[in-house]
Amino acid sequence: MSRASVPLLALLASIAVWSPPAEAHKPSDSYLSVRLEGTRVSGQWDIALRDLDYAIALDGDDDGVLTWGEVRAQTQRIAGYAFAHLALRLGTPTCTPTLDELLIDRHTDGAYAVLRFGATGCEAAAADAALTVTYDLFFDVDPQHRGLVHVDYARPTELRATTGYDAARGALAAMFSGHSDVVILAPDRHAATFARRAPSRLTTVATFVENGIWHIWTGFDHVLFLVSLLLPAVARRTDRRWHVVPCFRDAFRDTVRVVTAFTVAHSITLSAAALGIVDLPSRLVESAIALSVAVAAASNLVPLLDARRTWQIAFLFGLVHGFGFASVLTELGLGRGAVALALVSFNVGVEIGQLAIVVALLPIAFALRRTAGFRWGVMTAGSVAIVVIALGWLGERALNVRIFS
Amino acid sequence: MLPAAALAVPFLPDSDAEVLERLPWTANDAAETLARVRRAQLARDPRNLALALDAARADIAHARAAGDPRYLGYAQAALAPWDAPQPPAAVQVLRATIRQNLHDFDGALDDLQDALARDPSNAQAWLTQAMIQQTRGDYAEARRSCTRVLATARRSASLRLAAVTCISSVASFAGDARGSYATLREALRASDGAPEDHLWPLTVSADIAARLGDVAHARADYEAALALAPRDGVVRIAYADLLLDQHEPAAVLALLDGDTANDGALLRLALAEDALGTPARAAHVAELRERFAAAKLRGDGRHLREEARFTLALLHDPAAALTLAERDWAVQREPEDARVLLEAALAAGDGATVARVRGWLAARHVEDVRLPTARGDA
Repeated sequence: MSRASVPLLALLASIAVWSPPAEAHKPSDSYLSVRLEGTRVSGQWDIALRDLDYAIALDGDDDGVLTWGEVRAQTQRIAGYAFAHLALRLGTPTCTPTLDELLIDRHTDGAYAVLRFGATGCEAAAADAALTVTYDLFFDVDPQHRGLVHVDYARPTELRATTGYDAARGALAAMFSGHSDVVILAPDRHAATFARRAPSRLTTVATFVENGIWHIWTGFDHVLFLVSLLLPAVARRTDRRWHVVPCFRDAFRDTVRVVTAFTVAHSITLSAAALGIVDLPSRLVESAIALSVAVAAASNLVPLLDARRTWQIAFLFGLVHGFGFASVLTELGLGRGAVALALVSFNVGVEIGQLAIVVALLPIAFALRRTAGFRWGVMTAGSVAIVVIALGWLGERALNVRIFS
Repeated sequence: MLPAAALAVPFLPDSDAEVLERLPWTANDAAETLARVRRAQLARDPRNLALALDAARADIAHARAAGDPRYLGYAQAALAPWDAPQPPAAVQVLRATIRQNLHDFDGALDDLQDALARDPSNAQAWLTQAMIQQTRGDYAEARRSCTRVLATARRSASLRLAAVTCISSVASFAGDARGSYATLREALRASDGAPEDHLWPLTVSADIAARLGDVAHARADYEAALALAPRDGVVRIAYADLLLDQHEPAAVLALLDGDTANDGALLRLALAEDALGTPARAAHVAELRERFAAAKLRGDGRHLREEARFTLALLHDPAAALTLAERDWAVQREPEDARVLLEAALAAGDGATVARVRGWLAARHVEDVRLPTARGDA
């Protein structure tokens, strides 16, 4: 490149910057996305304006330019033409698409009409009915046209958000929702059936173990509860004097006993609630969890609980905590076998998550148990802080107000 | 799931006056008016064979010149009433041409074989068959097909020129580039046929000259071809490749003149902008990426060579480019296909592939100065 050519190149470059690429020449495609929530069917269908004009002449004044006014005025014609070339069946019943709104979008090859639609007539379908899409848009005028179809699955009910459990609920909802692969519909393959998505056993186990672990790690209340129970395993204050545990093995054994008692109790109530044997209001359960954290921490300041019976206390509180998650499983509407597998997996995850915290924290606590910093900074000040936080939660949850936000 | 580009954020336009789309057709375009008249007649009389053939030919020609594949679908629709395993020979030859353009080479060859069995004097069918065989690197078979064109060409000057072009083209790949170039130049000089008959011979002649490294003649031939068909996308793209090889990116920008609708042209534009370091490069690379993604989504494999070149030269991903170039090589084997495969294999350090492709080229005596040399200085 010579020096003399630079001004010209700069000019060319500046022109190029201001002119976006012209619309691509590509074969004709439409993009159909169907959303399935229980037996509710809705969707979005992107169809090139150019193709619509070729088939049903949208350009009223024939000036080669399509304006929004021209398109908008023919909304019903466009929808009528498009939906006449699409059939949606949920099991046996046929769903009749109805246009909610017409929008515009830009794809690489130009502007597309975006038909957002609902559908009526298939509400009576079975909950697990498969969706069949039959498609013949534009095949008469352009056999190279393709319909690119995919289906989004969502759980039928919105999962209720409850303090401390949102992340786990979100992950579970994601596991049972998702999307199909894109299916390409063509004249020689103009229909496709999309079976409902059901997670495999392995996915169920992996997801629930992972969620059990994260349920502990991200549940701040659980971590504080655990820490409150773990600290007195290395040192506790009774009769205004500090007693340190001399042997690490004893400390470790006590802690594992506490943690396991918690998990077992947690499993019992989680199972009972998930299988619909007991049903407690979540506000009550959440409040009880907060109270349990406050009591456990306060016990490190004033011996409210019998030290040798800590595991029994943990068991009692575990029963309470187990209810906290149970409602999610019932809302997912799993089959019995799947519920059992999910429950076992989730509790295994809870145990792994708790033991991981114990393994990480106990050696540190044990090493520091004789120091003043541990006694006053961690045991005393820390426990005071936990009590305050837990009482705050209790207020929030019992009165349904936000204190920490 | 559909890629983000395929499902961006839909919007409600601000006003009725907002222009959403400029259509590729308007009422005051003569060719479009003719096409509409034909379509209207066909709608009333869909089994009118002569009309349907006219409509399909016009659509195929437009698809080729504008690089707009939707017209292949329109052509196919015009021929739909005869969509049977064995339609009339004329329909079957056009169907083969459509399939060729869609890179369904097997389907196209089946159709041609069938049509030629019934009508062995169909010169168009022999020509199309020759070009598909040439594209696949089956030069001996291609030469036989070209010879059949010559046999049918006795009374027609334009067919004779086509036959010579066919033979020269095939021979130029198979070890006789210089001799076939001379033959073709001589045929062009002697031809008193219509100017539009010269477009294809000129393009072939330019291509042979470019492979021989005779840049001056290649340039002159492309210029002559463009004088005949200034908006012909195929000629422009081939010429742009010559200019890119000559390190004249500014000339590429001028030649392609913002013809960004055609994917092939947009790729050359982006390559030129890359060489110049102009800011438009980023937008065009992003645009190409989206277009290749959209093509992939519909299972469209027509762009593998272009995508491989794009991936190697602009995305700098030799491994991905090699995969694409290999898939392309399985379908078609022109020197351009060999070139991108060799360049990708060299960049990816895949010596086995380099040796395999070089072996294939050497066995056929393919001459092309643009292919990366043994030292790999592409």
